[in-house]
Amino acid sequence: MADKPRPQSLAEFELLVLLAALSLGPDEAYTVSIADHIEEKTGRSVRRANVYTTLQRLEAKRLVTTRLGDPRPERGGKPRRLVTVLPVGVVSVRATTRAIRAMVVGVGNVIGETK
Amino acid sequence: MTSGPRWAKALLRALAPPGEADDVLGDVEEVHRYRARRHRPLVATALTAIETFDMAAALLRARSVRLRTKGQSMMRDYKLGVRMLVKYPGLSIAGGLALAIAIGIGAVWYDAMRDVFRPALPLPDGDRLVEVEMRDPVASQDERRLLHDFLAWRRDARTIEDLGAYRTVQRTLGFGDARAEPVTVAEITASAFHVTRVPPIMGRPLVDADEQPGAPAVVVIGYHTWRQRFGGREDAIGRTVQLGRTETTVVGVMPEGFAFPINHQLWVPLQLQPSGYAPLEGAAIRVFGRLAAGATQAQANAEFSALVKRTAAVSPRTHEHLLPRVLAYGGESPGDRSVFELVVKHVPVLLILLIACANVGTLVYARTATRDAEIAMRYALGASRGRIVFQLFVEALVLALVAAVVGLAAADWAVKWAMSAFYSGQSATLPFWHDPGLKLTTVIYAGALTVTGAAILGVLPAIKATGSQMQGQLRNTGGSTLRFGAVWTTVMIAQVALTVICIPPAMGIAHEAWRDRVIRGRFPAEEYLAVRLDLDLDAGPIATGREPAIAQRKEELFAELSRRIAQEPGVEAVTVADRLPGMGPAVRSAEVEGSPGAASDFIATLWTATVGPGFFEAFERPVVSGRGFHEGDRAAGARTVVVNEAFARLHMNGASPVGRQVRYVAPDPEAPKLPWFEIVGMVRDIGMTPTDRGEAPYVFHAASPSTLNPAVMGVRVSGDPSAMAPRLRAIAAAIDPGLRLDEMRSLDELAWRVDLPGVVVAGTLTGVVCLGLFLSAAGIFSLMSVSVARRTREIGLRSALGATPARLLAGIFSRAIVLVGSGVAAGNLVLLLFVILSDLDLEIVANALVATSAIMMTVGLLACIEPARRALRIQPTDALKEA
Repeated sequence: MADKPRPQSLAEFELLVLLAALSLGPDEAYTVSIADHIEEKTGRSVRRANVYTTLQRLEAKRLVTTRLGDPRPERGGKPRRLVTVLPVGVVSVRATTRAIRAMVVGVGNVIGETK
Repeated sequence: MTSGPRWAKALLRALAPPGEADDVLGDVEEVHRYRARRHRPLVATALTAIETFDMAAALLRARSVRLRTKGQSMMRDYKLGVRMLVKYPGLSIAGGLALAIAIGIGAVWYDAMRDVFRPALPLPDGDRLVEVEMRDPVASQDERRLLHDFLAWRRDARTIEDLGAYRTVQRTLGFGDARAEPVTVAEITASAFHVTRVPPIMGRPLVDADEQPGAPAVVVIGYHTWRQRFGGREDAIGRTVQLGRTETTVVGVMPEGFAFPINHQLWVPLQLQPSGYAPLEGAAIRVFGRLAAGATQAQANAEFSALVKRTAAVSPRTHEHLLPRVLAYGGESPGDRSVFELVVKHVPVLLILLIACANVGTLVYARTATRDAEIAMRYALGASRGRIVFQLFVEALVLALVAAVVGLAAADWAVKWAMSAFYSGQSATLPFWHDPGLKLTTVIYAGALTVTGAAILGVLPAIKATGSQMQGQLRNTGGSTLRFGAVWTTVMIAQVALTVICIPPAMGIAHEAWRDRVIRGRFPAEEYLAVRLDLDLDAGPIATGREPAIAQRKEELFAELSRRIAQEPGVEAVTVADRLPGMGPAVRSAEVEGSPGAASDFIATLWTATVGPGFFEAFERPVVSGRGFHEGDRAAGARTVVVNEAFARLHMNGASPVGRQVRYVAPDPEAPKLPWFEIVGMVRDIGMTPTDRGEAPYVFHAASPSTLNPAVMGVRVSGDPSAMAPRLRAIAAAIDPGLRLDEMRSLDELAWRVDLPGVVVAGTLTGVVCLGLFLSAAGIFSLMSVSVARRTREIGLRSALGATPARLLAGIFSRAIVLVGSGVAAGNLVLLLFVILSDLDLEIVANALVATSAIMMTVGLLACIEPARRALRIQPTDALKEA
């Protein structure tokens, strides 16, 4: 039986990128859509260059893998680099979000979170 | 412009990693199209520009991270390579030495061949400078008496411009005080200064008017002479110096580094007789020039061949057989770079490197074999085959780099030492185009050799080690699976054979060098001072060689010098000859008159010397039969010679040679026979060089000192001969300022210079053979070690089943014995073939073969001792552990 993947610690922006990739799915998650998705959900401005750098880092940490999609006319016939979150990436997201939730318990009133 | 600015795309494409450019550009284009729909074009372009710079910065950061990671990975490989050097010291020393020798020899060879073929002249357009030589194939030497030809060429040649000529003469340079000393002077045409395109830093160069007979005597001096003799003063121009017997005015100073045509520092005009010269009349000169614009060396060669043919039609006796050659100046290249030049330059280097790599490769392969478990583990953990091969290549590269540094340092030292020894032996300084030490291009060439060597050493064993056997290793639970296959076995046999082949010549040369030193030791060379005598002539046109006054003056001055030196305290004997014992031989073919009615006896090699009065007495070689020389024998036309005892032993069956005749064989078989010489006496054997072993047949001619060329004086003293040197100079200066003493050295020092190349060759060859033996031993050791490691389980089980140590060892080491035996047999076979083809004495060679085989087998067995001990220490429990 294969060992369970061990979660890795994630920085905040790494977590957001992974969550966006998971939300968009492996056929729609790429740099532009991930940046747009984070902007839309969080309301903060996101630099695509940062998304690109973060995806490179996540790939080096083997949390995601990428592949080239089909060429698309709106991109001048160029393909998208589609992102798939690997199981260890999913486990890492789960561990990080669980840690955040655990930390929030008891301080929700203080930070203005009412659940 | 809905797809985004062109420059932005170009920038991102340049920075994106390979394979990622399209999707990065696609992102930019997609976002720009979206912006273009929502904003005005200018705004959209501005926003895209900002994003492009942001993205470019991100790409640069990613690139630097990748480079750092790759650099760290390579650094780890290099560190591992260094650790391997320390962990396997035997391989590092043996392999490193072999590679250092190969790379060092390669660098020296490349350096030397470049200078031999086409040296880089430090002159403007130096590659257009040429030298015209005349080859005499009948005499197998260059014909340099070219005054007649030079005048014709200078008038008619079109492919070479500024044709000039020079000769090197020795003069005494004086300043009217006690600082007079012998100097080397170039008598050169004014065209030399056009050819070289180097102007003087002060005054003027030589001009055509200086070449006219009767023109005021002038000299152009070099930078160093100017600094040393005139203290770098600007008023040197116009000063007068005493050059030989002539008051000469300094008219120019050349810049630092200028030493055309060879290594000259003083230039005086070459003056020629207005009436010209007959073919091959007058002094030896060398001819140079610059290829005319658009002309090639091939065209120049064709033109000069035609010119010489024209002269040969008028004077067939002197010119019919002569062949002109237009060569790159200072080199031997007769034309454009040829395949021959490339082959000579590179093939020997690659051959030596290949042999060294084959030798070291067996050791590296054995080391790799002991690490196959580690390699298999890395493979299992995800390292690609290319990654493992690269790591092994880097390990080999570290070894090769260390070897290259050692080899290049040794080569640099050797080149400097050899050049200095060679030119000091010639009593000269380096030609101006020679830069002592290795050049940058040579170091780059050695770098290429290093990488090539590392590729052979590292990659080939790595490919083998990471091949299909790695799968076997992954399944295997212990012991090595790598084998010494047919290739490496053949390499090892070839290595043993090569070592076997090298042993007899190395032993022979070392023995000869030792014998030469022993023979030298018997001769009291340290009691003699040798000095070359010559006479400065008056400035003026080159003589035709028919002037009697010069010979008369030489005769008187040399005789007076001998008389005055003989009167000095401590001087035991004085003599003059064209060579003294220890200065090397002059060998000629000759025939000896047979007994009445019998045919002449042809002698392939007869050793000759021309001696002045008192020669045999000075070297204690008494006349044992007939008589010695008297004054009548020195007269022109006298046909008498004295021989040594070896001559009588070899060609007279021990009978007295006195009264018999000998004559030399003319180089040209069509030429009339040369005259007979009558043998009037026989002296005790005298070794003029160690190689004659005191057994060579010598013929001595008598001559007066003035006709000797060169005239070398030998002075035997009771104390240190070098202490006599200043006194000799003072006596010569007192007799005549034009009397010149050159190359004053003790005979001992001269003899050492003659012996030195033999000693160096013997030492080098012995070193190479020792290294070969060491590499063979290391290879056999590696083979046996791997064999024992592979068969640990088998040895343990056989030991448990009661096999005796002798049977165990026989089973394991039979391969080593077969391998060494095959190498010895192959080497001996090659030696035997060589002996049969070269007609050597089989008995002597048979002894050498027996000795060689014994040495090699002993080395092979010694290499097996440690693996044998390891094999005998294996217990049955070791086999169980492996299982």
